[in-house]
Amino acid sequence: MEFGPILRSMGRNKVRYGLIVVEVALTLAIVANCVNMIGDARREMARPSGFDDDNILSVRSAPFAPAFKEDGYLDAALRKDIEVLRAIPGVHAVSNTRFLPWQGGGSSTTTRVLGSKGEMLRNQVYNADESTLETLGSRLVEGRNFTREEVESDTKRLREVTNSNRPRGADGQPIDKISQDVIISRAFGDLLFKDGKSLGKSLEDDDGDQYRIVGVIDHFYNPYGWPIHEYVMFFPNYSRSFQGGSAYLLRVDPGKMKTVRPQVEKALLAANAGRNVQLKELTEIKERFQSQSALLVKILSLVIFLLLFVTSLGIVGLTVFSVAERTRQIGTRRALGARKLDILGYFLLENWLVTTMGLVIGVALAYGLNVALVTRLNGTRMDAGLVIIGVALLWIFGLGATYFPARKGAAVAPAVATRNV
Amino acid sequence: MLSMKKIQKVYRTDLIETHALHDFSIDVRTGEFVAVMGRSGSGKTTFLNIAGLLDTFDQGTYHLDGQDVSRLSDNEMSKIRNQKIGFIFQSFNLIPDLDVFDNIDVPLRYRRLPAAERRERIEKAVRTVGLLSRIHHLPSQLSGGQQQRVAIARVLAGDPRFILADEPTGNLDTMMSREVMDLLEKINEAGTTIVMVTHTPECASRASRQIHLLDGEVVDLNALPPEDADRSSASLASTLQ
Ligand SMILES: Nc1ncnc2c1ncn2[C@@H]1O[C@H](COP(=O)(O)OP(=O)(O)OP(=O)(O)O)[C@@H](O)[C@H]1O
Ligand SMILES: [Mg+2]
Repeated sequence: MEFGPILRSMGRNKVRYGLIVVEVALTLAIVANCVNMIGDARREMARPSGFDDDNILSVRSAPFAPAFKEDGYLDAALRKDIEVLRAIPGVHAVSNTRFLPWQGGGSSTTTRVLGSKGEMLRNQVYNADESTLETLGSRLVEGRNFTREEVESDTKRLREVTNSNRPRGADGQPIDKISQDVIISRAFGDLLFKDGKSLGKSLEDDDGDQYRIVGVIDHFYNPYGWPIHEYVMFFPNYSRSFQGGSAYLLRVDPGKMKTVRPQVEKALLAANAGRNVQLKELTEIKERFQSQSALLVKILSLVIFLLLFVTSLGIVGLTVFSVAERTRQIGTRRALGARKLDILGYFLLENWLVTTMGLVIGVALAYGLNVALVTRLNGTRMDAGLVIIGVALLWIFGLGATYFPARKGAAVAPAVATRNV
Repeated sequence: MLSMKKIQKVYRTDLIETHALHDFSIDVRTGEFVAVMGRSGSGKTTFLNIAGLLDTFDQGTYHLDGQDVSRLSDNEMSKIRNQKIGFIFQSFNLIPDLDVFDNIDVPLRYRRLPAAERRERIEKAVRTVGLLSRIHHLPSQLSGGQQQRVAIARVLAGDPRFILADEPTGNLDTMMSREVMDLLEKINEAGTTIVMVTHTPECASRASRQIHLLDGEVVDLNALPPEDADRSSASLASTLQ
C-alpha cells in the first residue's frame, strides 16, 4: 500500500495528526486503567469477610447519665448489658468489641517480629473478649481463644498502665514493657513469618511492648484504607468509657434478625436507662460501604464511555476535515486512476496509522499509569489481556469512525479535477 | 484514436437543465494535436471530461483507441484513465503534501508497477522536464511554470496513448507558457495524441488542427458553406472579441 507517501505527508502535518495520536494514547491509558479499577472494585465487593455478615447486629451504647463516669459503675453496666443481651431469645452470641466490619476503616498500629530489627508492618488492631470469635463466626485454626479470666485481668492491667503516666527512658520508650497475648489472622502470620509458623512467637510495637501470639484465625477480611485488609491482631480487653460508650456485636440465629432487633433497645434501656442505644445490622453497613464501590464502578463506566465517544468524535472530525479539505486532491487522484476503493483505503490506512501510533504510546502510558496507581492506591497490576482488548477496541472504533466520512471522500467525482474555482 | 458521435450531455440541477453538449461529434486521429477553442461556457471542459472518462454522458457513442467506452463501470474507467490517458490541468493539480517524486509516483502506484520501475520512470520524466534538481521539493516551493512541468512529468512517466489538457497555460505568464507549449509540441512529435483546450490563439496555433465550440456544438469553419462560415466566424469573432 501507500505507507511511504502517507507517512511523509502526515509528517508535514504533525500538529493535526499529533493531537489525535495524543488523544488515542490518553484514551487507551485511561480506559485500560478504569477497566482495571472496575475489576478491582468488583472483586473487592465480591470478597467474603469470613464473618457471619447476615446475622450480625452492631449495638452502640452512648451513656449520658453522670453515674457512668465512675469506673466501677461502668464495669457493672457492661457485665449487665452482656447478660441482658444474651438472654434475648434468638441471640447466639454477644461480644464487647470495637471492631465493626465493613465500615471502610478501623484502627491500626505497626509491629514487627520481636528482635527482628525489620521494618514495622501495619496491621489492624481491635479489642476482643472471650466471645468475639464466636460472635463473628471466625474459626480458630491454631492455638487457643481468650478466656474470660484473661480478658478481665488484662482489662484491669491495661487500665492501670494507661492511667499511670508510664515513665520513659532515654530512648523514649516506656521503661516497664508490657506483654499481652494476642490472636492474629493467618494472613498476618504469613506476612510476619516466611514459614507461616507464628504460634507462640512474639511481636513488638514502637514502645517495645510485646505481643505473644496465642491463637490464629483462618480468614479475616475488613476493607481498610491501607492494603492491610487481611492483617489483624485482637487483644483481650473490655472496652468501655463514658465518652466512647460501649460497643457490642450480636450474632443471632439464622433468620432471627427480625425478631431480635426490636427487643434489643428495650432490654438495654430496661437494664439501664441513662444512655442512648443505636442499632445497625451488618448487612446495612456492608451495603453502605459497597454502594461507594458501586458508585465508583458507575462513574468509571461513564468515563470510559465518554472517552471512547469523544475520541471517536475526534477521529470522525479529523476524517471529515481531511476529506473536505482534500476534495480537489481526491478528484485529481480519481482522474489519475484511483478507484473508489483506493480512496477509501487511503483514508482508512491514514487513520489506522494515526490510531496505531497513539496505541503504541498508549500501551506504555497505560502501564505507567497503572504502576503509579498500584504504588499510591494499592490497585492490582494491569492485566495484559485488558490492554490487548483496549487496543482491539480502539482499532475498531478508529476504523468505524473513519469509515463513513471516508466513504464520502470516495464518492467525490473525478470531474472535480477539472473544475476551476 | 478518439471518436464521438452525437454526444448529449445535460447537467440537471434543481432549478435548471443545462445542455452542455448536444449532437456533439468529433474525430481525432492518432498523432494529432488538436486545439479546442470557444468562449466561456461553450462546453470545452465538459467535452474534455467526457473524453477523459471523468464524466458520463446521456446519449451518443464514444470510441477510444478502438474500444467502445460508452458504458463502462467506474472501476473500468479508472483503469483506462490510469493507463491510457494523461491529464494536464489549468491549476496543475499537484498534491500539496507530496514532493515532486511522490507526486509523479501517484498514478504509477495505482498502476501497481514495481518500485524499481516507478523510480526509473519518475527520474527519466523529471529529467525530460528539466527539474531533476528539484525532485524533492514540495509544490509550494516551485513556480507555476515548474509546477506545470511536474504535472507534465507526471503524464510522461505514465506513457499514455493520449493527453488531455484543459487550458494548461491559463495560469502562466508568456514565458512559462512558451516552455510548456514547447514541451507539449515535443511530446506530440514523439507520437502522442494531444487534445488541448485553450483561450489563446498563440497556443492554438501550435496545434495541427483547431476546432471551435459554440453552445455545445462543434463549429467546423471549413465544412460550412461560405456564407454560413462568415456568419459563424462573425458570431465567433464577436464572442471571442
Ligand atoms: N457540474 C455542472 N453542473 C451544472 N452545470 C454545469 C456543470 N459543469 C458545467 N456546467 C454548465 O455547462 C456549460 C458548459 O460548461 P463548461 O465548463 O464545459 O464550459 P467551458 O467551455 O469549459 O467554459 P470555460 O472556458 O469557462 O472553462 C456551462 O453552461 C456550465 O455552466
Ligand atoms: Mg473550462
